[in-house]
Amino acid sequence: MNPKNSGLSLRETHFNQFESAPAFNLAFEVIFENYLFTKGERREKLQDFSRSRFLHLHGVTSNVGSPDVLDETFFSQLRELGKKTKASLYSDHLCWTRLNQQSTFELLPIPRTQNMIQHVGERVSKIRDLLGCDFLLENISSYFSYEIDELSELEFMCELHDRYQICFLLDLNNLYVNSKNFGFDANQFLQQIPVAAISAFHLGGHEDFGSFLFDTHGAPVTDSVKALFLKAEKRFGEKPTFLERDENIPQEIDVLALELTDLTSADEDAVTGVNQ
Amino acid sequence: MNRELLAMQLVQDKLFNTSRDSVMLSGASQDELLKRFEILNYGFHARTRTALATWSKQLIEAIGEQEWNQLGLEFIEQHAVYEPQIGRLALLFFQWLKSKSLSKVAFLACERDESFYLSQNNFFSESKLLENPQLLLQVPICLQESTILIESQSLVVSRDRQQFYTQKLAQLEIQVLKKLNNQYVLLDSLLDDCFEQDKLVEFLVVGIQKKWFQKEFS
Repeated sequence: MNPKNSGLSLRETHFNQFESAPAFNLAFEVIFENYLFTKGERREKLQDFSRSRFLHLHGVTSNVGSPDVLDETFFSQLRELGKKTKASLYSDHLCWTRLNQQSTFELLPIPRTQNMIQHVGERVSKIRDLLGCDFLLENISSYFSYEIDELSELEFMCELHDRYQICFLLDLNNLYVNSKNFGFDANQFLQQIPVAAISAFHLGGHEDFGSFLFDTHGAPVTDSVKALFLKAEKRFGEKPTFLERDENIPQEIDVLALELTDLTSADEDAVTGVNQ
Repeated sequence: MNRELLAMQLVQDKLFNTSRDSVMLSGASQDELLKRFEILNYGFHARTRTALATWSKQLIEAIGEQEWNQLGLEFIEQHAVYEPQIGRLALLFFQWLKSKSLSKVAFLACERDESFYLSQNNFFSESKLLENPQLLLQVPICLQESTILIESQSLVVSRDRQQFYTQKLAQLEIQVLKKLNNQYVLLDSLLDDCFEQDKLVEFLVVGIQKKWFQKEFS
């Protein structure tokens, strides 16, 4: 992990601490919707942070997989925010969140069909034009699939990359969760996705709900996910890496910074293999 | 893309509990899918409720958690899906609440919560307002913009601006300040270069009621 461009996904709990945590010279990722419609000091603070640190703008409502009309104003505002904060990366999820102008506030899987490859590919191309830069997509955790699916998750992502040069923010926790929920080999996924398709990593925790794994971002990264991360770094090289926590957030940001340091300095032999 | 749209529509219906039909979905048994959607549905309600509760502290205190829960649930079921950004759900909630027949206490608490939300999420710097003070006159934006102004001041109050606010405070009718029970605290806070958030909101409510900002900039 390159410490200059890797770090933590910044949540509200830690907003004021991040500024005063010089011991951890980490990059940070923010949910851009939290700043898009904000003016004044809050946004200025983000600009201040970004002067000395690598900033990644990550979204949750770009709705790339939905047939709804693309909200171009939203991306113009994102472009403006990115310029002011000198953002280095932009991303959102390979999913849909809103349909027929109704929000679900949930990251939902896209039917994996050829039609949707074209739809997502064209949407991302349009978003890139609006932003004037690349826009990464993150693989999501899912708990169901569609009978009309024509492709596996791996095939879907590979085609998006091959046909539209879409690159991914690979969430290794989501990959692990899906591999268990749908019974595929996460290691094989890592070996088969093109090296050029992966631009960044996410790490996070999940919970075991008995019959399936649920991506809660509420616990430390498991050894299995850690093992996947180490394999991924070996294959894809050092990429910007961000640790996410949305539930059971420690009051002190240092706790997460230490977790990230431990993760990224771990020895591959010391952690449990994903299939062990 | 008709079949894809249909499949996604089914997911949305299931998520909002308007359909128990899992035809077109796979990845687990029908019972298991039902269980997973119940969790997703719970997540939708928990997430939207949190988005409202985070900004409703004064209102919850004024009307109690039970009544607030009823209002929150009614709002979520009827209106939440129409807002694209969960972070702005609270603003829509306050507007909806104010269209209902709330008690005076609840209405005032709602206004205070709304002011606090706006002060945290949508404020301009003082320099911008001084450049364009007409922003303050855009009723009903007036409440929002004036909140914004004072929020900026709460962070840096220069000596000359202290004098400005002190004079303005002195123009307020004494009974309003007595009712709010914070006259001297406010003045002391100003002189200490520091506004505390809860007093700030009360100050704003008074300022707006007295059309204080319009007087200054019109």
